Amino acid sequence: MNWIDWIVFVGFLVYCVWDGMRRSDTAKSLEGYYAGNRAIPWWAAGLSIMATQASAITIIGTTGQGHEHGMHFVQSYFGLPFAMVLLCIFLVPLYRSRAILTPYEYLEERFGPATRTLASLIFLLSRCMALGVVIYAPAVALSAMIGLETWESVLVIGVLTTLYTVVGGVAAVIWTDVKQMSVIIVGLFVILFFLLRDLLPHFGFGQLLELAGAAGKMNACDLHPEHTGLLPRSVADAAANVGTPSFWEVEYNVWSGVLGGLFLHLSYFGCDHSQAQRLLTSKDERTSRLSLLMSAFAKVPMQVLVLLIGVLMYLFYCVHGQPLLNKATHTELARQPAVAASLAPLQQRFDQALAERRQHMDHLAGLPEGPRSDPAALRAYQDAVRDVAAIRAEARMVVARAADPQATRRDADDTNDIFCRFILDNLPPVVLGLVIAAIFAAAMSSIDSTLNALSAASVIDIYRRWLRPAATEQQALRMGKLMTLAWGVAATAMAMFFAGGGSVIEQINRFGSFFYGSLLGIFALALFVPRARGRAGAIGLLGGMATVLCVHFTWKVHFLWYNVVGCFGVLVVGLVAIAIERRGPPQSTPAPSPEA
Amino acid sequence: MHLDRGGAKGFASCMATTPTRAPSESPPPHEPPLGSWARTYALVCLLAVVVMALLYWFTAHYQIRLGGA
Repeated sequence: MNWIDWIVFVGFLVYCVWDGMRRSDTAKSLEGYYAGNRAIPWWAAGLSIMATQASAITIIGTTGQGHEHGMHFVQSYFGLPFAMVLLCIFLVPLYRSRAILTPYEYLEERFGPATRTLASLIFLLSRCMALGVVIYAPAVALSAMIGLETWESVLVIGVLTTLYTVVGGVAAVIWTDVKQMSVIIVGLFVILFFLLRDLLPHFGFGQLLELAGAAGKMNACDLHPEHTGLLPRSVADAAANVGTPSFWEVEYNVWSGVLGGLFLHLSYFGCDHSQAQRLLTSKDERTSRLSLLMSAFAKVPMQVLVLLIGVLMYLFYCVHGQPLLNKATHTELARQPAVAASLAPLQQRFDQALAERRQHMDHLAGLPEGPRSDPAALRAYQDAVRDVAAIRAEARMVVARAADPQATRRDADDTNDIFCRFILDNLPPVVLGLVIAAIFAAAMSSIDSTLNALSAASVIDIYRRWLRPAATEQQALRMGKLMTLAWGVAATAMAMFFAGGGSVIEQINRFGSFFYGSLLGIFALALFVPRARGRAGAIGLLGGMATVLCVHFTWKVHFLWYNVVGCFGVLVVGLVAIAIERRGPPQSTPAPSPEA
Repeated sequence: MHLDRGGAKGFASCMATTPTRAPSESPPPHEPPLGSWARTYALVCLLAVVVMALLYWFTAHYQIRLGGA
């Protein structure tokens, strides 16, 4: 990075903090601090919803996914537009007809305080852990780019975001999200422009897509998954690689994307307070709906854009050659004489494989009938693609094992580093500063929303509900700011703890996916089962989580399906609890309000 | 078609079991886009299906599984 990039990057950070802190006027009451006085325009809330979902790792990791595995990840978003429509129909009127500040307040109205508190605690626990990862993961990549230690990057991201979120509340979150999302979109289009400007003199756009498809990277819609067996394999069989993988194990396809993605997004946008909060900040039902529908229109095309950038990065590397190693720590280790000696023959093979891939690629591009018209050449190209990937994987293992003899393939993975290496090596000044600012923007836009939401759940569902019900508005507001600060410090500390050893991150990510389906299930039980009252809610919620845990430890199932399992687990256990309760003494049911 | 309120009796009763905010005195400032929410939702779903169909076409046209011609 040169000084111009630094000016662009630091200027953007300073602007974000200033822009957030000047919103402090809105944060003079709880309604202002957590709901922006319910006066946020729909387009700002809509952009904030998209910015919150797009974390830095979404940009860094998704482009890396595109480079390594093609477009298939986009399928996990296929259920999103339908989820948004269902939320507009069922949850928006529910939230907007009540003066609530967290969605979990509604659960108390339906099931009592235990269910509300349980749901809120689940949100707090899962989101806090995820927040540590949301700060840590981009900090690792960014530290390599801007030359800071990982803990220094963690500190910069954590402190700056916490600062303006504490002072400005949700209005600061949303209005900075608007700017951050704009920078993200501009950054993505600038990279797309840069890649196309470089590639189009070599190949036509159709040829580029054909060459990417010939390498297996245009897999955006898989209607026919590789495995179709409906009987899931046990976890033990899968670990021992015994038996045939089932349909439920296939990573991404249309069916898991539409159905699993539908449940995931219903839960994430409707029941996770970091997103559901946006529905409470708009001025009325109409604006809340419009803010959701904005994502319904824009999210899938945006994911296509991000993944396409990854695929174009692959083609760029086919034309210009690519580095053997992407991770900054790997390139550092590769300088050690012993490691360098092990890598030298690999580098030779790699250079040869790159040359062959380029040669076969040029041949395929020259075929007037497309790559399928010459099966032998196509096979040679695909072999070269596989060789390049295999040699890269081998080199990563050599380097990772030099640092830790017990390192696994997953430890050596560099999917999240491909994008960083690419932009550092290839983007011109100013553009590089802008793109790094976009990555920071993506990180901050997710962190600020989560901090404010964590604070809201702590104050509204715990502090005001249990600890100090008689607290005045100003006392609760002071506690809200204090809690934002406390969650910011906790998340930053957790991210710095990860910086000492990253092996727990994968487990924590999976840990979060256990809860989403169950949270959705409890809202579904509240909405669609009028007889569900009292303990049935809490029992159903616990039962849903237990069901997901059982499935996780028994069968090999892709995590998108956990959301479906958790939701139905809550419904089934909740209905059983209702049936059992009905045999006992009848519970009183509140009378319907006149608005019915 | 009253998509706005779900339509199911159970859902309606769940919506109504708790105290609600006082309804706004002034009418909503704007109509739903396209005149009704049902039409808006239909458009969103239609566009989602069109995007998926386009991606399916892209996949069928360009994608060649590794190892297969």
